[in-house]
Amino acid sequence: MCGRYVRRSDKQKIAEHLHANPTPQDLPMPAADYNVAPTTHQPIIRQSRETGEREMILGRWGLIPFFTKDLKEIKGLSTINARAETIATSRTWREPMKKRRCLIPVNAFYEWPKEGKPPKQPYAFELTTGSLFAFAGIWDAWKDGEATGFSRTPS
Amino acid sequence: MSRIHPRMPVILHPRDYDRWLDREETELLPFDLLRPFESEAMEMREANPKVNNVRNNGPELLQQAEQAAESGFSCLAC
Repeated sequence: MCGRYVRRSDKQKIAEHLHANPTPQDLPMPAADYNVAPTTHQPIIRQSRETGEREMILGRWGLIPFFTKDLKEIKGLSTINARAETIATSRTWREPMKKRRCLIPVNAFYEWPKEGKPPKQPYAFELTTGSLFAFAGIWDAWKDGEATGFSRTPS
Repeated sequence: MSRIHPRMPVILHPRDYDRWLDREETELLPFDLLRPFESEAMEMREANPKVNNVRNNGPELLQQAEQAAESGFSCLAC
């Protein structure tokens, strides 16, 4: 499955809607992004270990497993989506699924038909209410600077 | 939704956010939340093929190509 989504709400709206504490760090992000692509840094919401409250941080779309030695090991887009059937067994997903789950704020997402030849007609999906919603995500922290990556979970 | 693609991202209901975010280790991990969202609560439409290129961005990507296209016009002269 392809990966592209829309984030139309700015950080203030996201924080209000998902009851996240405004984070002390300044999050450099555009007010809206209609073509969010893998490997870019995007806002996610997680539970703070210290306070237990929800906090918003920027993470890289494409989780980097904690055991990764070199970013080159992450092949292409292999970690942008976790699959429900391997999330409990795969080394990449197992630990994050236990205690590093997150919300990914989204206003709409795109899918391309699996069948057929390119160029394919993309489709946009939204809630009928037009409201902001959240993908189920998991995140992990990686040693070298690029701290936090996340993946979404397809059903 | 599944007629476009067999797999869809998991969308959580607000009532499940706390459980999904909880970091306490538990035997009862929220695997039960990994299920398709009610399709009657979602709507689908054709998007603008310009979204295929990551360099394109803007609200017109959510619109059908025809609506997003710039319209030109001419006056008729006789």
